[in-house]
Amino acid sequence: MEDNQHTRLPDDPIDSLFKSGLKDQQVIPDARIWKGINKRLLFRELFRFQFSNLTRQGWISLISGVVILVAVSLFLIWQQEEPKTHSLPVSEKDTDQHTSQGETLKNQEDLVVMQPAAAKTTTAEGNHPAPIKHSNQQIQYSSSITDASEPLVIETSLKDSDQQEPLPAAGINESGLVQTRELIHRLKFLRVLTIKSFSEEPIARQLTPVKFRQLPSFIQPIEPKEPLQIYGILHFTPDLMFYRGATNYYKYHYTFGLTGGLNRGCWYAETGLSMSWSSDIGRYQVDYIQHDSVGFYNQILSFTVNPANPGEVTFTTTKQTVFDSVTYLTDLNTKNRYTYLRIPLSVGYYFINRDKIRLGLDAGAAVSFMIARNEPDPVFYAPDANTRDIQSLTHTHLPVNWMLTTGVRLEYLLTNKLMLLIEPGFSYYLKGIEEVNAVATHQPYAIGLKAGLKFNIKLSKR
Amino acid sequence: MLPENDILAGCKAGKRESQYSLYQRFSPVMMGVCLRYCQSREEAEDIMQEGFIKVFSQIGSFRQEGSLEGWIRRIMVNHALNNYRKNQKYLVHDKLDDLTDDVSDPAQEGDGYPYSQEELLKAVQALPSGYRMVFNLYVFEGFSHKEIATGLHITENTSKTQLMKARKYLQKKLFQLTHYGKEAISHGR
Repeated sequence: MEDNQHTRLPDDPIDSLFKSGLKDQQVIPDARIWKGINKRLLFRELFRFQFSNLTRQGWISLISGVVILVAVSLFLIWQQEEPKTHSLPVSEKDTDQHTSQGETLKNQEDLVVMQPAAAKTTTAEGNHPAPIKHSNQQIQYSSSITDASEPLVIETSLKDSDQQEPLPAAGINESGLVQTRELIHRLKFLRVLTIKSFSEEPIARQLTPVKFRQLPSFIQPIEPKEPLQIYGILHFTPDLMFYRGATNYYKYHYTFGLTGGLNRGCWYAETGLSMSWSSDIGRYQVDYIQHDSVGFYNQILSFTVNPANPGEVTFTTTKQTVFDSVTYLTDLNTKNRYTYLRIPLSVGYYFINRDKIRLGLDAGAAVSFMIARNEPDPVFYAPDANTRDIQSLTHTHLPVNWMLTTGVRLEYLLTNKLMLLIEPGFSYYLKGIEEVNAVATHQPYAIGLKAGLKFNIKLSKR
Repeated sequence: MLPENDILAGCKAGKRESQYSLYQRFSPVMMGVCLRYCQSREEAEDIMQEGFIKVFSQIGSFRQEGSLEGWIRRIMVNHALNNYRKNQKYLVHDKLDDLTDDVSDPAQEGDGYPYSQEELLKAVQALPSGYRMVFNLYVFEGFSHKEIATGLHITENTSKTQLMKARKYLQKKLFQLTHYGKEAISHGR
């Protein structure tokens, strides 16, 4: 715009004519334009969760909720990080199974040292086999094992009676005893090798009954030895609620909460507490009188008669607008806000359970109690109007809502204790959310996307 | 009527009363602007409605360095241009060759025919869209041909040609209006 003056030619007379005639033109727009703007603004506000619009009470409850949830979460995580001596799962105990000479074993409980079948056992005293060490003793390997290249396997808790090998009694043929022991060792070694060849899973899992593996992969029973796991989920869920057959009606819920759950094997059950915020449009009808234009007429200011042609008369007129009191009925909308306390209860099953990813399906029910409502009075701003009546058309929202819920859960393992959770969900309300279901004859539905962090709290003993 | 600063502060806080006050204050002028850029009243109303939505959603970015009216006006014009660009492929360009005959300049005629705002507006609205855009941007908004060319994705020469043709068209239209208007009145129609 700075170089306008250099590139512009002087105004053409036609430009000047239009510029002077239209530059300050003002046209009163139709009243429905403001209605449209008002409605659009209202919908924009409804679809956007505005923290700035929260009342003081809302802020206090939100901040307290977050503080409590964070504190509880930190406490639970801290509790889990405490050293565990007796409740470790087998997989963690199993870390020192493979060892070599000179190493000190860490897990000493119920340990039995097994020598490889091919290993020759010699001691300083002669041909006596190396004594088999039992639990609660510091086991130190020395030169008793001559062939270090052979695999050495330490098996946990094999409580067979054959582990309790007595010392040779006097008079018993020692060579026969050595042969028997070697045979036992060979059998044990073969057993462990066979088990380990299936997978790298902990031994306890490898020893599961055969019938477990024969079941269809999508239905697996709860394994009695699976540890019971307690976990918490901190989540946020935006929901879109809609009615079947009412395409223009939909509204948003925002839910924030903490869920606690139990997990054993592929099954899980959950419940918790969450706060849910939703907005709705308050509808009012305003009856008012306004002094307004009802039409116009052309007022003749003067006229001239053509002397050469007396039949030709030229009139000079001006447009005059006619005003009168007009009664109007107009709709007025407000933004109402509702806060609910929601308690869900659901059961689910992981049908894909990999190292990093779990995919599950859950179903359950939830109940929500309205704990706060904010329905502001309508503001009708029209200085020239005389308001006769404002009638509320807003239906009362029910204080309790019951719904059935289902969702497909995806969990991604971030660390040993923390998982990222994404769950698209679907809810079906057992009743309409208003006392009079004005929107549709059916109950509403809601689709939502739960996003959260799941943290393992505790593993129970096997 | 509230002072402009109060209205502005209220709008920034999202108060509906302030938004309505702002709308009441500026909508008549903006309706006039939108009508000039559009072919029909309905189209102008749509542009204005969208424009005000944008005004209210972006009013936080208004830094009071210029006039509020100028800022709102710029939003309306930009929105009209965007709308034009969006619908350009669907527009049928009228042939104006028959309107480029030499006609007497109604502004120079001096016959004292008082062109009403309505007549002038109808003449502008009757222009083909591209010509109307160029004419409005050049005459009312004070843009140069270079700026118009950039804004409408055309060449400077096209802008100049379209402005010239728009002027010819308007001259012809006003000439017709003058004659037919007088004849209509003289025959008592």
